[in-house]
Amino acid sequence: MLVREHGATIVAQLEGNLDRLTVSRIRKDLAALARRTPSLVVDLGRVDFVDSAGLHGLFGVARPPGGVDCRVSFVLPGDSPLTRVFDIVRLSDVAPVHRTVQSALGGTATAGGSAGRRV
Amino acid sequence: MALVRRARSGGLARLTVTDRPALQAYGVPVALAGASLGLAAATTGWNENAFYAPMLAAVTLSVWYAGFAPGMLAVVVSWVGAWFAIQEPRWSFGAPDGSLAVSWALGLGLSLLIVAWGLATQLAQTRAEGRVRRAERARSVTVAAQSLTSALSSAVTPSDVAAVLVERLPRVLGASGCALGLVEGDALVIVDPQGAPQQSLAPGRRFPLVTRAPITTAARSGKPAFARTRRAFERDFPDGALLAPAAAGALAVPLLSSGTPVGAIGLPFSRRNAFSDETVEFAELAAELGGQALERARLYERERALSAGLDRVARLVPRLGDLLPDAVAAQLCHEARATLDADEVQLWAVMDDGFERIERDAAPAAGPLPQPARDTSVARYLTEAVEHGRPARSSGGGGSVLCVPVVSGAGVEHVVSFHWRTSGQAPAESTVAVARRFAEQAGLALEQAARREAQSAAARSAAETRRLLDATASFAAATSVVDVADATLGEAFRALGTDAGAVVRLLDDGTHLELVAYRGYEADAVAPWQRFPVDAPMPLAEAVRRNTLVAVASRDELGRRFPSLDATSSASWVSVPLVAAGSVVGALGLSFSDPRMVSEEEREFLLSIARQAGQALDRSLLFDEEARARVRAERMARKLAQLHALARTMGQSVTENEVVDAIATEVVRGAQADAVDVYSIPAEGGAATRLGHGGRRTTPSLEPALAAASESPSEAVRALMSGVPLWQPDVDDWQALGGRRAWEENGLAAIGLVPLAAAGRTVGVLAVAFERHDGLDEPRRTFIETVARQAGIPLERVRLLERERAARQAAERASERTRRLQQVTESLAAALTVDEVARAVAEAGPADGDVVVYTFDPGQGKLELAGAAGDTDEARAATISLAAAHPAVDALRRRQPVELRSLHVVPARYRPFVGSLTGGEGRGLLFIPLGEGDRTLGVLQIEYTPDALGDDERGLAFTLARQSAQALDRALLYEAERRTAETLQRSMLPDVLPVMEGLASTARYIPGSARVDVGGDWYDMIALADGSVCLVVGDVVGKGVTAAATMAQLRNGLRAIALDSSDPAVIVTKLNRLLTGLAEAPFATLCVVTIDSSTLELRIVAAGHPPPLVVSQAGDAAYLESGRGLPLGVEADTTYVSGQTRLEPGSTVLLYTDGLVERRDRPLDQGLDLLETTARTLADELSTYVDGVLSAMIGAGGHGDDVAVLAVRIDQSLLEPLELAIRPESHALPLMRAELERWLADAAVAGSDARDIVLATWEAGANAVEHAHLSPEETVRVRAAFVRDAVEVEVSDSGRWKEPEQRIDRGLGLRLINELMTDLTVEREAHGTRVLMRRQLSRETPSNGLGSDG
Repeated sequence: MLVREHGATIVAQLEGNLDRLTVSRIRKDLAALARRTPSLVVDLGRVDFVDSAGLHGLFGVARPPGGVDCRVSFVLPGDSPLTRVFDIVRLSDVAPVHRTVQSALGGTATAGGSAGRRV
Repeated sequence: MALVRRARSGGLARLTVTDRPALQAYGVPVALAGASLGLAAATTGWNENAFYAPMLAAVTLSVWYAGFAPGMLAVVVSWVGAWFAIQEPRWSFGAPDGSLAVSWALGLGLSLLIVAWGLATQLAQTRAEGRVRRAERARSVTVAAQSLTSALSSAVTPSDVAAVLVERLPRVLGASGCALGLVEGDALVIVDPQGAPQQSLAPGRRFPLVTRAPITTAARSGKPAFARTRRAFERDFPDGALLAPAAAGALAVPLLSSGTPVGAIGLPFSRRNAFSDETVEFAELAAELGGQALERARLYERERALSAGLDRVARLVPRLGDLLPDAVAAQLCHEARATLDADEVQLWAVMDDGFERIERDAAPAAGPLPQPARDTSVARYLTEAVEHGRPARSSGGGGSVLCVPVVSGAGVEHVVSFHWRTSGQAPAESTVAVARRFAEQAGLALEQAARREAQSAAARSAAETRRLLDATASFAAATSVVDVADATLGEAFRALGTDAGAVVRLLDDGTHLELVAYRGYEADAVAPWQRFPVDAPMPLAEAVRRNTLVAVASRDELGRRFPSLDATSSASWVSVPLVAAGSVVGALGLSFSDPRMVSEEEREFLLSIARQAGQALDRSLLFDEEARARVRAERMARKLAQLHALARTMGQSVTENEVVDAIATEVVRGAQADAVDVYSIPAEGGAATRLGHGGRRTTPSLEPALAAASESPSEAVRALMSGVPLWQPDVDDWQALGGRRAWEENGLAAIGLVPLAAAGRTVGVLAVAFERHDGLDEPRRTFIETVARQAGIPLERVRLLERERAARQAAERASERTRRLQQVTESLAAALTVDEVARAVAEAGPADGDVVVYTFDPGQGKLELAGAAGDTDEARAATISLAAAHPAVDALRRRQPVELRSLHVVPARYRPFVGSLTGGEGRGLLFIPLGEGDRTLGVLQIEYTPDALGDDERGLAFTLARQSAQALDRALLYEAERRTAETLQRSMLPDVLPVMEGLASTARYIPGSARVDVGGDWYDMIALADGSVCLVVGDVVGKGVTAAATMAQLRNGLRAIALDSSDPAVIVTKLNRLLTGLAEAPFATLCVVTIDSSTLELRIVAAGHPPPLVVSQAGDAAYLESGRGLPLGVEADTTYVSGQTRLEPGSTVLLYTDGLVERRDRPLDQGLDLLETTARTLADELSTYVDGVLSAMIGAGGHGDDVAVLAVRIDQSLLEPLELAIRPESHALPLMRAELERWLADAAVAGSDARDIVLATWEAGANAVEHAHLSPEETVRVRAAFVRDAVEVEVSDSGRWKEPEQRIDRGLGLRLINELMTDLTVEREAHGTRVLMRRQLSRETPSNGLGSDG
């Protein structure tokens, strides 16, 4: 997991497989990040494989438990092979899904840190 | 009253007591006296005193009874009697003695006393009565005066006043009558009051005031005039005395109005001195009252008249609403006079230099107006009225005048003058006012009238114009003379309001007139006018003669001048000449039933109508003439056209029938003939022939009669031959013509024979017959002769023409035969096969015969149908056994033609053959053997109608048969060789392709068309020793048996080489060497492909051959361009190098020879492109697929070259199914995933297909691992396999399924499987769960690798 901070927003880029073997760890990490920031962007652009357990884990991240005030959004590039799966489970119903990290930041970040990188 | 009357009568009457009659008054006393005398004499002696007592009593009675005078008479009578009685001797006349005388005297004295007393008493009474009477008379005068006054006061009109006076006065005054006259000018007019008794003078009589009569005198002087006695009457008023011859006296009193006498009343009296001064005074009083009443009544009447006048004036204009100005002026004057009670009213128009009287209206009895109302002096007042614009009036002399200006339109245009002759003073203001009102109204009325007149003048002029226009229009519309005449009459009638008239026209000779049209007369009446000379005593003629309008207004004059018009019962006539271009062309006459003059206006209208009519008539004469000429011309033209048409028809006719039809039709139509026959007479004296017939009746034939016409006994019939028509044959003629009866039986009565001549010879006869006896009248004869004259030459011409045509046709037929023969020779030379020969023969056969060619197959011992042409296929058999009783077989065996001229009559042995054929009449069959050398190759069968197969055709048929036999021989040889090559080639091609696992294969060989020699195309498929397969397609250059043999050698050589070599490069290199080693090394192209079915590796060598096509399962097509080399046989040392690639499961490899892509009409490039496109779009079961490619490439329309196609398809089932068994733990899942991904990649399943299958299998496996509750020794089995173009995955376990308490994915897994896979089946059973998933491949995978391998 690669974590970057854009002002108050944290961008977490996931890699590899997001399945029932990896989901609990990833979910734990993301929950920790969510507690740290009011705005979490989860970049799924480098995920190779996602299964139902992984999807379920993402749903959990998108809806943080009470007391955590964090807006979670996802980034899924238009050409990602995962698009079909996310469409089936309707991930966009629970959290905003952006095509690029930039657009996710534009939609969530207010700090000027990311503004300079926008094209 | 009695007293009054007695006093009035005077004289003796006054001494009588009563108004008893005189006889009675005097008779009674005389009688009493006589009686008393007698009584005294009888009773006493005359010497006694008592003698006088009765006499005294009688006197006393007489005085009482009758008065003084009768009393005295009684005294005289009595005492004279007594005197004679006392005389002695009695009754002598002398002195009596004394005493007697004394007594007589005493008695006399006593009686005189009695009489004197009586007189005194009577006088006293008379005086008293006189007083009473005076008083009474005063009273009665007063009463009469009062009564008169009241009666007069209630009298309203002067007439009432006069009536009262006339009625009352005589009674009051005791006059015997009364007459009342009023002064009118210097005359007195007796009035005629209504309701009054008869006057003593006739009412209405006028007396000049100077007349010496009491009434005129009174009226003149204003004082009473009277005469108390007749003598005074006659002396003073001699004129009046004449008027009243019976009057004893007369009294006349003037009627005064304002002191002026306006009239007088005359009263005659029947007794002299019948009136007193009081009477006169009373009469004067009454007259005065009457005068006042009269004046009042006149004033009243005047007033009423004025108000009535104003009323009338107010109503004046509307009443004059529709009168014309003249009538308005007259009416105005009349109204003015009536309104203002003037004696005369004149209406003046104001002119520039004075006045012009335009109307006057005078009282009926008016004489000349008195001065100053004369016109000359009126002018002054007229001028004054106009200048001051107000009424001017004058009075003086004998009358008064009032001039009132009348304003209308622009100003004072008229003045109206009122004249009164009576009044000596100026007209009253009220009169003037009324006059002014009147003038205003009159102005309006005149103005309106003027406007109306202008309007009506305009309307009249418009109407006249319109009428003239109408007339012009109707004249213009009239085309014929009669039309023009009718229009003329119509217009004239309308204009003059009559309904009888006539129009005549001047004939061209200028001396006669001709009736064109008439109306309103009996036909008899106008009979003499149909044509009559110009100098006839006729108004029409006179109008023409004199060129003027002739009007005769009276019946007398008419009768005198134009007696011939009596019949028309006309009362007056008017005739107008009709003139055109300055000359008379006719005349119009109108008659009227009453005598009348023709007004100027009508005259003008008539003349203008006449002018127009004349022109129209002139025009229509020309028109008629032209029309007649046109009709003549048209008739002529029609006739000509008919004859022309006939000539044209006949001229265009090319057959005899057409000419004959034309003649017959023309005669039937033109002459209404009931039967027409046309006979031909041949020049060479052959039999006459009836060529045609027309008309509704049938006719007996004249052929025999005409055939012998030149030797006929009848001269007329003989004459026919020299061109003389025979109309109505006589008895002899009929005999020569074969009798008349047959004609009559057909209802034909009139017959005419007309020769048809040509070149000075009779070439035919036209026989025309009619039902009617008079059918052959002159015009028809002429017509028929005309037709006959025209018909001969065409008839002869078409005969010659037909002869010429026959000759020409024969020539043409011959040339056609030659041409056909040439044609068939050419086509036979080009024909290679038996089919082509047969077709050429059949097509070149006799034009309208069916042609069949049978070939003889000696081996089979039968005849075979080789070709046919024609309509019917009935007389054709596919094969004919040599054993059959068939004409074709006989022709073959005998080597001679067999002919069946008719199917009706045939040799018995052919019965079975003919029996199968229908028809027969006119149907013939000709069978000609086709022999070449000593061999018989077949039979030519020609079916024909006997007429059609003339000698020429038959000759042609034999020639044809000879030629076709040679061609057939050649074709049979050719076919034999071709069959050999084909057989050889086919024997080289594998009948069955080897069956290889995982490889579907199919092959096609399509030989070229018949015209192309058998080629050297071949294909082969060999299973090689290493398990791979070798596919070969080749093409040997060259054709026929040689090429086929080469191909066989190549094939066998290749098979031999392939036994120990599986590399195409080695195979082809060796084969090339083998081929070049042959003596006559042929060229060949070859394509060898090997496919390793386990690795799907393909190797290829294409030696000069078109590249094979690889079509992937996804439908991508690509040519295998690698491994190319030279064709075989070009260079012996060539080493071929193979190209290679890997095939995907489902790919199809298509090998072919150039016949598939190369066509004469399509370059190779295009063929390759088309094949690529076609192959891509057609994905199907292999065999169907190849057929589809073939039909798209070479189509149904045949092909030129051979085509060999060999196709193989790599079956996907070639890939082993994936079978995995995994431990029941999650960590085994990634391994399973990896295996599956690899397997899919091997199967060329990629993209979303692969991803989805992997994820679904993962989920199913995870499900089993997590929920099946398996023991560690148990496994989850995963199996994946291709099923056609789908992948089926089965995940099964042996565990007992238990619904989890909490699932890690909350059911997402199953949902994903459902979405990702095409089908999903879950089978849960006691011993385990099986999940079956199927995914249909989308073929979206991009192909790769085929083109890159090199």
